[in-house]
Amino acid sequence: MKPWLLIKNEIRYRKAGFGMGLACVAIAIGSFTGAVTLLRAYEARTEEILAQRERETREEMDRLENDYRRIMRDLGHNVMILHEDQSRAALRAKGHPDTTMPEAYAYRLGQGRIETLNHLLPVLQQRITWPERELDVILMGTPGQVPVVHLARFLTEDGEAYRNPLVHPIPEGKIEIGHAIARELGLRPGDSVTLMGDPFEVHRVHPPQGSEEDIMVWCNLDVAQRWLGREDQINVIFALECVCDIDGLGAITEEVSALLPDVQVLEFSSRVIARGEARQRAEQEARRAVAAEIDHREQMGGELRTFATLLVPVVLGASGLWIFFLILGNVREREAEIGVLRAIGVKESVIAGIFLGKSMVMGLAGAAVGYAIGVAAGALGGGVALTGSGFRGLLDPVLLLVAMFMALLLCAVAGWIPAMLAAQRDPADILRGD
Amino acid sequence: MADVLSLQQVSKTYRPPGRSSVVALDQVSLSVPAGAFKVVCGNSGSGKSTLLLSAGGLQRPDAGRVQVGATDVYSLSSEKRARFRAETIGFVFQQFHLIPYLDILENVMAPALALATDTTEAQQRAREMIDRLGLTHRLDHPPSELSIGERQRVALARALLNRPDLLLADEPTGNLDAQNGEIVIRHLRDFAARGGAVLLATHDTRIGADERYVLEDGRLRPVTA
Ligand SMILES: Nc1ncnc2c1ncn2[C@@H]1O[C@H](COP(=O)(O)OP(=O)(O)OP(=O)(O)O)[C@@H](O)[C@H]1O
Ligand SMILES: [Mg+2]
Repeated sequence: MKPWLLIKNEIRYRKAGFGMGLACVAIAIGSFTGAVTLLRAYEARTEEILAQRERETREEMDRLENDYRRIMRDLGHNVMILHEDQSRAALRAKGHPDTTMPEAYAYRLGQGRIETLNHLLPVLQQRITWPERELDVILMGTPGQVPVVHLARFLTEDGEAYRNPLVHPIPEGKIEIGHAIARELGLRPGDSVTLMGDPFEVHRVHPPQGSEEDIMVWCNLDVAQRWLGREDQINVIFALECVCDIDGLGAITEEVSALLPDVQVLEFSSRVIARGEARQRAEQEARRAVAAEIDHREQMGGELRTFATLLVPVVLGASGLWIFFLILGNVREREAEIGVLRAIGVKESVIAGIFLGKSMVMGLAGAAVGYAIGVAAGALGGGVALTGSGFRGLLDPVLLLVAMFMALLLCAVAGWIPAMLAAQRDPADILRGD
Repeated sequence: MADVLSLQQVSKTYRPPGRSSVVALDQVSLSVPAGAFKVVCGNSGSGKSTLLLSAGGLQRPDAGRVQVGATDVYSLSSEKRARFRAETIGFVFQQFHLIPYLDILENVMAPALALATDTTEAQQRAREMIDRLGLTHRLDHPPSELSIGERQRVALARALLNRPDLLLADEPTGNLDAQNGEIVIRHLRDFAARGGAVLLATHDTRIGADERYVLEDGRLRPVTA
């Protein structure tokens, strides 16, 4: 016969009392594991929400960036690189640059690792009179776009050309003309013309732009160089400012002058810049909103934690007291039993063990129930569904062990004094009662 | 025959704090040899329970000596006295004091808790005891399902489980009708007849005995036939 038999049978015999004690432990442990789980669930949920916000922000930014890219492409080139000595006044007066620089500059830029510019277009540009037609035009000699080689994503696979160039190279023996010229001269694609004594076919008529482009004639750079007597020279490199950096001009100038010491950089088309700034503002706004949300949730989390650190000890203390009185009551109602056990020679330590053992069983059972309820309630309170993987992540064996340990400690402390009282109860006082 | 129980000049006075003290035993001397069945009669409050508890090592007297076999009971430490009690002394009480959540077999086996007795052997003996007391058909019942007389017989079986030398019975028939009382007394006599020593306290003067004593205000005197 073992003390365990007494513990087991007595628990079964006095279910209500044991159940009350168990509930008490469960409440204590439930409030503890519940608080811990709630905090964890809350944090997990916070991370999830933040990840979601970040993703949304990033998507929004990507959308804005694509918009921006498209708008810039629609507007065409918005940066001009000119020779250092090019007078701005002369540029304005003549409508085109009159100081040349080596054609090789464009290739040097293209080979350098520039980040701020793309779609480089070297041009030899001059206002001339189309001699055969007696018409003022702007001659645009260009070899087509020079690739910025390290921006490979914009280029064809061999890295030789742009996949979607803003300006296409002009095929040999052909020219392209602005809309106004085409109208004035009644030209259409496929028509044959003579320009500066050379025969050409009209390759393309540019759509109306309402700008100087409408009176431009595009030809191969070599041809223009020969006509104008400017071998290997150009007078402007057009470029498209990258979307990545909107402080623009300073950064561009810095990068360009590192490669080409004797040039100047001009920026035009402020609409693009305004658009870029709006995009940056939107991004800042979005980041601020995320930061504010983090702040808010962290503050809430802090308040929860404070509440839990206050509540849990109070609940533990109250439960401990309740368990103490329950076990004390149990000792009272079992006095006759204690007396007779002592009379038949059962040692005091065994009697104390029977009571302590019972409270340990109460502790373990209560801890299991409390853990289950606490974790479930904490998860639900923290917004984590009980069926998902998020909940499985909250099931922590260490927390279960801590809960068990706490429950055992609670019951040992609460059960200790009653068990000692039981063991030291004078059997004579009980048994004399006959 | 050697004395199983021997009390020499045992006195006990209760001194409840703040109230007048009560002399429960006043220089009581008594011996019960093996095979004897002795009865102490006395009115309520005369000190019978005090006498039995002192004799059984459950209440230390103020003065005098309690000897069971060759052992001076109160010279033992409380732990050793518990073990000594488990091995040598059986108790029967007026209220039976059965453990309500154990069945009859388990109740009878309860003294095995005190000794590290082999459980199967203890169970074997418990069944024998229960059989001898005619309760085999009630083996797995809780005490609450037994008649009053049956309950006292279970208590008696429990007292006898560890084969004690001495049986101390405090009003064992106090709650029983005449017929059941007689059954219990018969079993106690059986125990004495097989060499045990019985000391029984009662206010029922009809119970026959080898020797009778009367306890009056803590003083014990033999009753001559
Ligand atoms: N703890 C105590 N404090 C004070 N007085 C006590 C105490 N226990 C017993 N007494 C007194 O000691 C006397 C003897 O008590 P005891 O219980 O031994 O008598 P009893 O003969 O067994 O009585 P009953 O037949 O009613 O069981 C009684 O007067 C009782 O009131
Ligand atoms: Mg009494």
